[in-house]
Amino acid sequence: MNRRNKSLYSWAYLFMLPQLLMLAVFTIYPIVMSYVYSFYDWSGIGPLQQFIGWDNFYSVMTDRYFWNAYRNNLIYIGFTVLITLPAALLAALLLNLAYFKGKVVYRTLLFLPVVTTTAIVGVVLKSMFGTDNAIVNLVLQQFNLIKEPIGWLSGPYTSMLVLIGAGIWKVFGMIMIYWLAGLQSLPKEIYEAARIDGAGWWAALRYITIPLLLPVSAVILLLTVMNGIHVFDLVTTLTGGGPFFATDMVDLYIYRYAFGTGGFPQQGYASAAGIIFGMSIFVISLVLGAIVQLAMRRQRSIAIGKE
Amino acid sequence: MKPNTQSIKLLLLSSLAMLLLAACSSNQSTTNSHAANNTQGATSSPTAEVKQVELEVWGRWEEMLGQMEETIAEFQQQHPHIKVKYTNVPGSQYVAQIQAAISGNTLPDIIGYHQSIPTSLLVNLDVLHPLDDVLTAEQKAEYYEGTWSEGYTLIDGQTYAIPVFNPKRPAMMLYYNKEALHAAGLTEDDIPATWDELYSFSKQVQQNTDGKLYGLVIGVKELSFLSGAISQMATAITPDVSPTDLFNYRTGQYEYHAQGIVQGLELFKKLQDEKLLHPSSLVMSFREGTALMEEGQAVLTIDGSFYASQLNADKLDSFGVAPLPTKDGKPQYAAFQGESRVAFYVSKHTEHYEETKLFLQFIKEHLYPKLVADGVEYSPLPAVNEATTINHPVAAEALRIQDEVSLLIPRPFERNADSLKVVLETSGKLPKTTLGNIAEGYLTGQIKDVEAALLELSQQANQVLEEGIAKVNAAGGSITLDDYAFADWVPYQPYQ
Amino acid sequence: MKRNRRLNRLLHLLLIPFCLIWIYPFLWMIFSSLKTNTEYISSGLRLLPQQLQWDNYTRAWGVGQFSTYFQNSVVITVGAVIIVTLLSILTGYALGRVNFPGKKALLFLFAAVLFIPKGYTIIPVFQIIKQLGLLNTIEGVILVEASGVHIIFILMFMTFYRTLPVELTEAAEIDGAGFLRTFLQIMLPLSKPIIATTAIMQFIFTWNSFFVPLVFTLNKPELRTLAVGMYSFVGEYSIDYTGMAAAAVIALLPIIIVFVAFQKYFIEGVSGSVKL
Repeated sequence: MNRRNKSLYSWAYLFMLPQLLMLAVFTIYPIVMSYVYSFYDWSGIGPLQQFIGWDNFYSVMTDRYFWNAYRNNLIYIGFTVLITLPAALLAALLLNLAYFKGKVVYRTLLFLPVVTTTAIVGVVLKSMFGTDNAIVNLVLQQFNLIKEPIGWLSGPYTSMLVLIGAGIWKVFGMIMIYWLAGLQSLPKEIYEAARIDGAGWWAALRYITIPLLLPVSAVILLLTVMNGIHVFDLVTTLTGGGPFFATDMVDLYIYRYAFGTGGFPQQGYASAAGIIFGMSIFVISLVLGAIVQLAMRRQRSIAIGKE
Repeated sequence: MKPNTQSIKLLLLSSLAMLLLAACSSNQSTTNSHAANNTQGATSSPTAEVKQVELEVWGRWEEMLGQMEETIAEFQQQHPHIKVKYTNVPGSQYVAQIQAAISGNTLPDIIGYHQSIPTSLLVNLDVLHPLDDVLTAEQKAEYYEGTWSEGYTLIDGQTYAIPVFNPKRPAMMLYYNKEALHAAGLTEDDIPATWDELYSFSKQVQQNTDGKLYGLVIGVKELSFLSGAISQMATAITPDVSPTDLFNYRTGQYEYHAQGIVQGLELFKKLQDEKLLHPSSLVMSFREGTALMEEGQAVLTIDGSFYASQLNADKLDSFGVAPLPTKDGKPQYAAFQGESRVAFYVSKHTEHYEETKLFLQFIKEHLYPKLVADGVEYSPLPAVNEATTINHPVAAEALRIQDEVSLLIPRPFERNADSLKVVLETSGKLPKTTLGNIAEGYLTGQIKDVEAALLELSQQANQVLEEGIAKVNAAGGSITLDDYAFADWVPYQPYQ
Repeated sequence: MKRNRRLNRLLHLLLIPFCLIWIYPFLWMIFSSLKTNTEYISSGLRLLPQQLQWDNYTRAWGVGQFSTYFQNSVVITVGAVIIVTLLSILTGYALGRVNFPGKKALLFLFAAVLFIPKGYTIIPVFQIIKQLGLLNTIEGVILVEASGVHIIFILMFMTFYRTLPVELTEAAEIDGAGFLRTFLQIMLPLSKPIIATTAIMQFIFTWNSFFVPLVFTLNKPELRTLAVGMYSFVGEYSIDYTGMAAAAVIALLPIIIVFVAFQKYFIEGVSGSVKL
């Protein structure tokens, strides 16, 4: 190793030092400690004393409300992903048309909800979806779509519906941009060739665009799922997890135990719940990744078979 | 991608400007307060260098905000070197805020009580300053009998809390809007006293106003009074179960599933199902609910005695208050255990103990009479309560009703002090699901078998209690479930 | 051409009403903030206020303490943006330009951190901030907001610096410039677009952040940011609907302006996270 390299390396290490310090203190240490806490009966105040083994994990696993929150979370993720992915792709295809003027304006408008503060949007939507004398019901009544006001946020299904709708509205622009980025990275020559072969827009979409987008779509799927896990801001301000835990999510469940309002917190228990949830999401994303890979391989073999 | 220097500069500039703006305004505010302090000091004693002291106080009783501010103004006038900063923390955030302050070691000088963080817990965490020298023995004797009871104001004989309100609180009651009542073609004689009457009353209001007005509104979202109302009405049916904690003090068991509770829930379910309850009730907090009653969109609402003094003062004539209806019109009670649920602690780490003492003594002399006069709440001093006339017609009636329905119930901590240790063990572990949650779930139709849901809660709560007792005994304590059973108690007679 | 124009018109016909509904919550919020509370309740479907009520803003700004919240949001956001951008540049540069021993391992560590189930790490972070004596300080909130590895930013800088030709640095070195001078005088200015993207994305993240400031300002209401302030405003003044709308406008307007002005960078940043 020569002297130039040596000095180069020390500069590199020096440059990375602050980030590495942050990484150690605010990411790695907390991950390790949250695993440690989960084995204690600990309120978060005072020393870690009562080691209780797997008790917290057992209690979380047998708590009905944990699984209720878990199921709600999956429902929320499932619906937002299933609706947003295709709808945003359609929007991206429209806004990618070469001859379509005014793309940028629409893109900005559709993207607007993404950048606005979720916690504040939640409060605003809560007023709009009120029962009596609230704008959504008034509009629906005006157009005679409903006879009497709907208690959007007082019914278990309707409040989940509103939540999913708000979640889609909030994330749609982001997914659309993901798709646009994917579309724009596709090689233009193929489309030229397809056009010369006489393929129409639909055929190009079916046989070129969608197959070529598959690898990107795996990434987008994962990003959307990850997005659906962190719903604390929206749910806290829009439904508060209610009515009667109908829109409770794991984030909120853990928060209640970690910084709860009824009595002293149970941070050991909250940590255990966090770990169980994190682990299961990890497994789910692994499975999702595997499925996407499988699908891609099949697609590829079909394509090869056709040739 | 071309570097667009123009917009980057713009961004940098604008963020710099924002930062400067923020920095300037914060500077300004500090210099302002310094200036204010200086002038204050100058007028009081230009030669003697009195050090400025700021006391921080956290309370959560919105109803006494005005009286507190008045008292503080008077106090600051008498003690120009002390500035009192009173913060009213919303009830829903209070516990979390105290917890964060304890773990961050940043409690204010004076802290208000909350039933989720009992005195014994705070003393155990070693965050409270003993207050034995705030009041003399004679002064303490002026207080309501039972005020200085072990476990709440006293721990191991030392005083830790100075009460602000009378312990007989809060009782839930029915408030009504007379204008709405008349608009529905009804009179005050029609105000319901039984559940059947409440039902037919609600129906009549709706029919007489073409569905424009509702009989009853009550916000059931977080911080709901629905559960308080149901458990208080339930005492007319199952009086052994205390409305404050749904604990049966005769058997020594939690009894969420008491018949009174179940029937109370069924009453509201019926009102909800037949669309007799204001439709916004299920999405509103209690405060929004009472606002609808004040606006006249509903005739009745349910709230605590403390609500009376909060009513729109310009229209006092149009409001009235009555006891909650009970199933057959039988009497009901609101339980109290002698302890004052509104009191102040002092942080162990206060740097101004002498000044907090002055302030607490000042409260006794100046805040108490104001509270009574304005009808906010009776003070903990019977003499002051008798000597002061309440100049608020609705509040006077509300406090009278509260006094009438308040009942002293058995106190396990008097019988066995180890029960306070059990409280520590069980704190935070009792079911996170509350009666309010169950009520909401039942009204929205998510809970079909409400009795089973309540029974499950009772079982969970009793298990937590048993585990707490076992832990205390394992640590050398001596307490059994029997210490919680008061078979000799006759409900509706104060337990002495 | 003609067909395209017709398609164009059709698309506009479809998208204009759709987008109006899409941004209706914002319109509703702005117009509600200019009504009186009585008008808010009684106006029904009428969107436009009868008379502009600016005192809703005065109320939110003063009584609702949104002036304090606004100031906090600005300080926290600017602080976090500076720290995050700086750290990402430095790390990205080292990773992009130097083949130091352990580089692969480090990249693997970054990736691993992304995928390890994290549990509920806010609790230990809370304890760290407490031990640093930064609990209930604005510095503490900034630090937590800026903490964590921003893999996307680091990778963006890394790929950018890697693609710059070696000749650039070599020429500088011949001129006698050291590592630091080469970085500061030649490489850093070139990366302005990436800096802008990073800064704007982080700006929006931090400005909108709710959970961290909620937890870290629990017992210091005067440190609340706009998002947290809004949440507690609803709890405290739940019947002041128009004041609430005004507060929402105060909180959302800056972010909307920043986004519209710099949207190119933000959209590039977002698409970058897919391409990488």
